[in-house]
Amino acid sequence: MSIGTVKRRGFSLAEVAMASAVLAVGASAVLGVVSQVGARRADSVARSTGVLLASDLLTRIAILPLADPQTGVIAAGLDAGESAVTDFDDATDFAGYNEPTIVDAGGAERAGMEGFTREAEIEWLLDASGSSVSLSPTSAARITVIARWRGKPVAKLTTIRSAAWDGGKP
Amino acid sequence: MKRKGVAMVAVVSSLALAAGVAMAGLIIARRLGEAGASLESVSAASAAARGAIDASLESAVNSKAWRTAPALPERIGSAEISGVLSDPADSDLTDDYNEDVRLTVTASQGDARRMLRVTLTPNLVPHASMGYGVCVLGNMTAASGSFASTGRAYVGGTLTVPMTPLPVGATSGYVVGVSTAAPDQIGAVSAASQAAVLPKRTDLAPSLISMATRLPVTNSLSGALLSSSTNSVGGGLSEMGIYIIGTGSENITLEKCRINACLIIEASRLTIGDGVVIDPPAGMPALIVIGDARVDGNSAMLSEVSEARNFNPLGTPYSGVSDIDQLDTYAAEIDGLMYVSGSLVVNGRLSVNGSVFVRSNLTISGALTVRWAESATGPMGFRASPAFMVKRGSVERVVE
Repeated sequence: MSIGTVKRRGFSLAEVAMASAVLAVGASAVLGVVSQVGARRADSVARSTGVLLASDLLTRIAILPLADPQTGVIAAGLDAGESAVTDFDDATDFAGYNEPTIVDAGGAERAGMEGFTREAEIEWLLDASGSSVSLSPTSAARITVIARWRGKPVAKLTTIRSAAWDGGKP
Repeated sequence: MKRKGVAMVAVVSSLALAAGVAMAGLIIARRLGEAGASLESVSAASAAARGAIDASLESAVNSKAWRTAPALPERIGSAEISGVLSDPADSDLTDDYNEDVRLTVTASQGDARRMLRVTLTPNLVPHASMGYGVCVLGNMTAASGSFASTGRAYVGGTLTVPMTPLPVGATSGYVVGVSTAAPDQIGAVSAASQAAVLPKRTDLAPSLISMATRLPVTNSLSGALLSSSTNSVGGGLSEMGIYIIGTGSENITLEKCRINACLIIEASRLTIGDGVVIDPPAGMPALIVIGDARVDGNSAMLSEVSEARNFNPLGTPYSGVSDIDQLDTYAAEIDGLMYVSGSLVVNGRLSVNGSVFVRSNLTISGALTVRWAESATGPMGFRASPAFMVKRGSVERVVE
């Protein structure tokens, strides 16, 4: 029997403690990043969806004439006999429009869009430069659509519509 | 004691792995954020580019200024806007105002850029007032004179004509019908359904006045021949055939001239004497008077012998005929639209093959004969708005 040649196969307590501490820090960092990625992904999905929702509403507004087809008059807000979105027949009907739950052009609620809202604003332009606005309707309107997710704006799109397009379109 | 460092290797490896995962996660998170922002930028640029076309139509005037530098908003939303015009026919935007123009707009937001191109066609639809042979926004008095028109007349104010009962309560003015009984009589008078509108000087400035060649004439234009290829007065040629005289404060007399162009006169008063022949090129009004006008001439013919001038030389034919002699005579007539921003007094005889528009009062103590015919296109400055129409199927996305 020989003494003094003992082989030490395990880890010391200090080593284990140090490794555990380092791993804990690393794991918490990774978990933090994973959590951040998840949040970013949710934001990104919300933002992308919001852009599509805003684009959809803006397109629906922009294809309509500026003047009411029944009266030929450009007037802000709803015309007589119009109340539901399905009644809207000119772009100016969407002045101050607010959609607390997302609906399609037929007024039916869209599934899977919980938490999203969208709204439209119309400003009346005094000239094509867009630098001067009027309180009363003119022949040109700046239309802005904002989509929100849980109250936070996630997309904002703007265009200009002119009555000259209605008169000058093919 | 031998220490092989297994624990340290394990710790470092774990850390490296964790760091790698973290880096990858951060990159993914950043990419996700950028993707959302990129989609919004593309959509915003797309909406702005489409809006820029509307804005260009809103501001479009078929003028040299607009064709050279179309007015566009600097920004729509957060997108920057720019635009250029080109001439798809001959690359010259200002040689022919009846030619199409091609507008290319660019909207940029962030890294996204959207370019749209559209072809715009000048709107040749005549102004609503072109439906009248005579259009007077003020009073029309023909009690002591002779008035005949093959087109309806509109009178915005008081109408005084002999032997014609007037309708009551014509708040929007009167429409004087065409006589079917005799050419020198007028037809029934009815209340107009809506008031007529005539362009003002400011409306005519971009499309006509600003493009005219100024003639060095102060008080009288006599014995002159003007066309896009001939100018006997001096001051240069107008390739478009638009000439202008006066500053608005003087009295000007026009007589014994052939004007194969559009003549614009800014004067306190224009007096039209004998022998005035105005036959502008197609698509141009004949005579634009910014001020008052008075016709004293009695339709005496324009004579080449009397004026010792050939009024139909090569390059300036009359009714398609040119020659080199000085033996011809010409009927004193105005072929096309005569517009007076003030009042018109017809003391002599005035014969117009087109329309007569008067923004103030028309008084006829002589004879006014208007031979009106409906035209498919109005003359420049007297066309419906908008100034341009979008050519069918011409909106396209430009990919660089």
